[in-house]
Amino acid sequence: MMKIPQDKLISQINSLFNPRSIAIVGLPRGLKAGKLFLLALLDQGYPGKIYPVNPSAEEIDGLKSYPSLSSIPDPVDLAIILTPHKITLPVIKECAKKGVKGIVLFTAGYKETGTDEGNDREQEIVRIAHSAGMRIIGPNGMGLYSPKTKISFFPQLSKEPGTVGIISHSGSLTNILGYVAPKKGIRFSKVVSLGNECDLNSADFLEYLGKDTDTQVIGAYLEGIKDGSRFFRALRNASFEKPVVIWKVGLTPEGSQAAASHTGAMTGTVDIWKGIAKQGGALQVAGIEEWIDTLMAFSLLPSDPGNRVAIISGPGGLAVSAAEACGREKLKLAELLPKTRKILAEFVPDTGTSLKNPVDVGLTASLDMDIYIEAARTVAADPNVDIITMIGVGFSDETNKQYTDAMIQARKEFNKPFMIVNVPGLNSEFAGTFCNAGIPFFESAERAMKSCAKLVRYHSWLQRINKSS
Amino acid sequence: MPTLKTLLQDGGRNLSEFESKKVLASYNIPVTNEMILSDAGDLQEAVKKIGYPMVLKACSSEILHKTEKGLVHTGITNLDEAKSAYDFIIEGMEKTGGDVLAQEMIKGKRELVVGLIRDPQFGPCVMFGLGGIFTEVLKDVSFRVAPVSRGDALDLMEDIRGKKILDSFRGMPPVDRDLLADIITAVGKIGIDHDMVQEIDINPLIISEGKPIAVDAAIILKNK
Repeated sequence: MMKIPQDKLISQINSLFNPRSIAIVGLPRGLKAGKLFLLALLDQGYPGKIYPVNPSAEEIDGLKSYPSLSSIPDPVDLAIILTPHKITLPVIKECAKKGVKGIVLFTAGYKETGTDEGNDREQEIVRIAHSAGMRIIGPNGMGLYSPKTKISFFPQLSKEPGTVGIISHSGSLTNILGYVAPKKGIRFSKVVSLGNECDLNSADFLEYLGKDTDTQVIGAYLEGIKDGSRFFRALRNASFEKPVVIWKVGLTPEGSQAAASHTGAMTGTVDIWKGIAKQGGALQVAGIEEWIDTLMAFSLLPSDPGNRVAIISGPGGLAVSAAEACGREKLKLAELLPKTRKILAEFVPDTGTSLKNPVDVGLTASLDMDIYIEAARTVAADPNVDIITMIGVGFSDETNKQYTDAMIQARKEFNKPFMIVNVPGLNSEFAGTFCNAGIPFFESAERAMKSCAKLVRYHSWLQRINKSS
Repeated sequence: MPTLKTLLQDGGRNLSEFESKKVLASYNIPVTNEMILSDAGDLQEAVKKIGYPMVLKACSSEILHKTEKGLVHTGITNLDEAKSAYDFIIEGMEKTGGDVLAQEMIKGKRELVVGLIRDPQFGPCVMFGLGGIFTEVLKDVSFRVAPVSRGDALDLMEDIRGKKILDSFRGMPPVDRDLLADIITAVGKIGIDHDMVQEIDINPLIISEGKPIAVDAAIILKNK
């Protein structure tokens, strides 16, 4: 493990995200998996120099190809290595000699094989890298994506820079997130697919993203943790700066400690992890939906949203279940002022059964969107309301557009956070419209309340920590 | 005869209840008033020092599950009872050896558990939760990594499902949370200060008039 001062680590990782030149070693001529790395850079519009290295070609996709890394005349900042592990060691040595700053090791066959050979191979690579001041992402890592500096590891990822930083142990999950993100209003500052962490690990990136001014939310998908104490400190420090949303897998409830004492007998890896996450201020999620919902919520909702929730729903059943979800998540159902209820009574038809919160405007509102719209505006004007949750739908694309535009307008005008909950019939395109206008769109009220509660919890954790320190 | 200090440094065997409590006391964790009886003659002194009601227990680093073996005698109120309890315990320890520990009997209905485990990934972690005989059945416990700050300790207390037990409860005063937080932090500190400490068990930590007192304790050391 390389122990270096934080500012040096940050500077090293910065240069990985901002390379002036990239060599792709072992780039295939044809359309094989490795070609995606080149396609990704070209698609993203990478402005620096790209050097394919492949002794069997003089040119690949219009770019001059070199027989070896050493034969490249100019400096190389980042090397993406696609060669099989059997021939990688000499390549690493060349990188070190050439003064390459960082390596993305895409291929595998190292410590994860569980063999002595694999382990030795890995240790040797790391030793060579460190003696040259070079850092490694991988093995089995896809590397880096940052729209700001136009580097990427997969084609068709968004080119719009944003504020969400991602640390992932799974390249494919990162791609899935990248694919879904634009429709959710999620945009990325810096993303790293870490692989098996022979060198740079999640603690390093937590430290880095914690201090990165472009990043305002951190999302992590983690399998194993290397250097637990360091990880915990990095997590806690990062959480002081911004929310860290962690999806942790690889927890075996059976991982109990040797049970000499009662304490030992009761300790499993799940229990310890729960304590770590809570103490570190992390927001824990399980599963991709929850991960994405939470990243969306933290991206689009204000950091101090308040906790008094108002619910306005066309379908009565959904109004009630949303209110229950609100209670389960320990949010408060806002108490509407009598003035507000009086105004609502003027235009909500009798089929709407409730003018207290949750406000049930009845299904006939779908035939007259003004009912939804006026209800939303009236409730948003109530000083007792922090967050407005809309559960509604129109009968046509036109009326849905009217609804969407009006909600976006209301959020701006009243300067209060809105959450939109899907009702079947709402064309999924509207989801994207809402999110890109800064309003989170949830598939259910349960999911909306769950995410909202996380914001409230993070905010109160921050306050408690700041008070005690 | 190794001193506690040497034992804690070298490991090798576990600490007895008496030894464990000496370590806890050195970290200002409240423990029961108690003494080791070298023979039946010491009972007179124990009565003077500790008074009635008294508890007599087998005390040894080798004996686990004392209660199941009938090696804990509580509610002793006179010398005859004390003497027969003493003899019973001595007989029960024939195979294992050990001492008899005389201890004050703490009155309190609420029992907590505070423990420590040295996790291979994260280092010493403190456990807190509902204690007593139902500890392993209820499993209402939560963990924090050491060093456990005051804020962390207070948070930890709020983590358990049974947290209301710490409030004013059935006519009993609320638990002194400051003192409890100090205990949680101190247990974490023992783990940080002594690398050979593998596990710590304080169960029960009995609440008596709002104050927590360690009534039974075990410290398990790494093998040499």
